[in-house]
This record gives sequence, C-alpha cells and structure tokens, in this order.
Amino acid sequence: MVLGSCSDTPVDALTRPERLEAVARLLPRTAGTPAALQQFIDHVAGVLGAPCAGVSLILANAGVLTATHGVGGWLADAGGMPAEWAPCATVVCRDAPLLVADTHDDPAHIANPLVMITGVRSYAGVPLHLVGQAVGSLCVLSGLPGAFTEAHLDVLVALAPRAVELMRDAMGG
Amino acid sequence: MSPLLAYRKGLMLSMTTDIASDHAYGLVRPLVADLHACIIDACGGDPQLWSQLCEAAHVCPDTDDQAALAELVAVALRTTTGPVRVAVASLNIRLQAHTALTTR
Repeated sequence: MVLGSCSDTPVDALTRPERLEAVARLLPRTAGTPAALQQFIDHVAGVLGAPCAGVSLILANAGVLTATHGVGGWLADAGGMPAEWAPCATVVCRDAPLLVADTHDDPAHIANPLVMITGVRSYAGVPLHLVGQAVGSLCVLSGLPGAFTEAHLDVLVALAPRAVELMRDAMGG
Repeated sequence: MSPLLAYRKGLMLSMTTDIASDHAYGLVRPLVADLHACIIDACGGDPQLWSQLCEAAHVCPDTDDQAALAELVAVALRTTTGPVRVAVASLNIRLQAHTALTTR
C-alpha cells in the first residue's frame, strides 16, 4: 500500500486539522483549471520531458487533481483518486520528495490500482506547502521505467512555490 | 532482487489478480451514511449542519437513497467551508472515482 511507509499513521498525517485548514484555502470552488495553472503544468511537463504531470491537493482521504497534463480516461473523469492509491499522498504524508524509478520493482507500488490501471512506471513528486503545511504535490509520471532522476526532483522543488502561488491566485489570493 | 523482495513481489502479484477482477479495484462506493459520518466528524459533532444540508437538498435526513447522495454532496460543496468542505470534497472524489471506474 502506497501510504504504508509514513512515519505517522496515514490517517493521522492526512487529517491533522491544521493541514486540512490549509488545504481548504486552496480547494477550488469552481470546476475547471484556471488558464494560468494549465499553462504552468504544461510548462512543467515540457521542461521535464514528461508525458504526464499534475498538481494535486491531498484531502482527508482522497487526492484532487487541480491541474493535469496528459491525463485522460477514468482519472480525468474522476478528477482525482483515493488517497491510498496516490503517490502524491505519500509525498504529503512524508512531507518529502518521492522518486519511484519503477513501480513494478517496488513492493509498495506493484499492487497499487493506479499502477495496475494506468500502467504508470515512473513517478517523481515534491510537496506543495501553504502556511507550513504539506497540502499537495507537484508531480510528473511516465509509463516508462527510469524516466526520472534526482535532477528532475530538483526542478520540481524549484517550481513548486509557483504552483501554490497560482492556486492562491485562483482562489482570489 | 533480494529473495525477500522477490517473495513480496510474488505475493503482491497474486493479490493483483483478485483486486483487478473488481472493476472498482476494491474501492467501495460511499453511502449517504458515509457522508453523514464525515460531515459530523469534520464539524465536531454538530447535528444541525446535517439537518440544514438535508433541508437545502430537499431530502429526508434519514435517507439511505443513493440518488440523494449526489445532491447532498453538491449542496455541501456549495455551502460549507474549511475542513468540512475538504471532507465532503474528499468523499466526492472517491464517489467520482468509483463511478468512473465502474462505468468505463
């Protein structure tokens, strides 16, 4: 299970009141991705050469995709996924970057339905912070193993504050 | 790959077959009762909020009608704030994921 490696229990880490208060400040009130945020995530995918990229907010027990590049099918229809399937929830839970070189070589990920359904093999994600709380993740994904490295994480770390800024702008500051 | 990792991977692969036979991959569709519980929990136990939401959604507070769930979620997302709204949005994502997986 993806969340099994958190130091806190997953539920405790994700449902801390102060974290949920911070998440609420970024949770969109309208459907659709703001143009600036869409341009941003398209840029992230382009810079990192990733077929898929996303900005997620991790809620109490699910992750909502506030902006995506290259994501379609059931995941786009749902607009997110259960937290226990979301590598981004592990990023938030640990409040640390996560690099998965190959989901098929990782016992924590091989039976993850997200991996089984979408065929994702590589993942790199970094936490997004608001008022000191890990609220979500900026991530890239690929169907190929070994697509991302520590260098990709460094770029994501540098870009993460801009994602939060754009989400705050979309909420009216 | 270490023998332990190979064993765990083999175990996971055997589990994979069982989970994959379920179109929702083990994801349980939330019920009205789940929404009730998550709202009560997130608002600190205030029963008034649930009554107000049901009134606004024009559904009976004791309903277990799944058709009422979408309306209750829509009203709750429009009218609540803070952690209550986060809890409702969280349940809504799980509901939408279940629907998307089982109708594809």
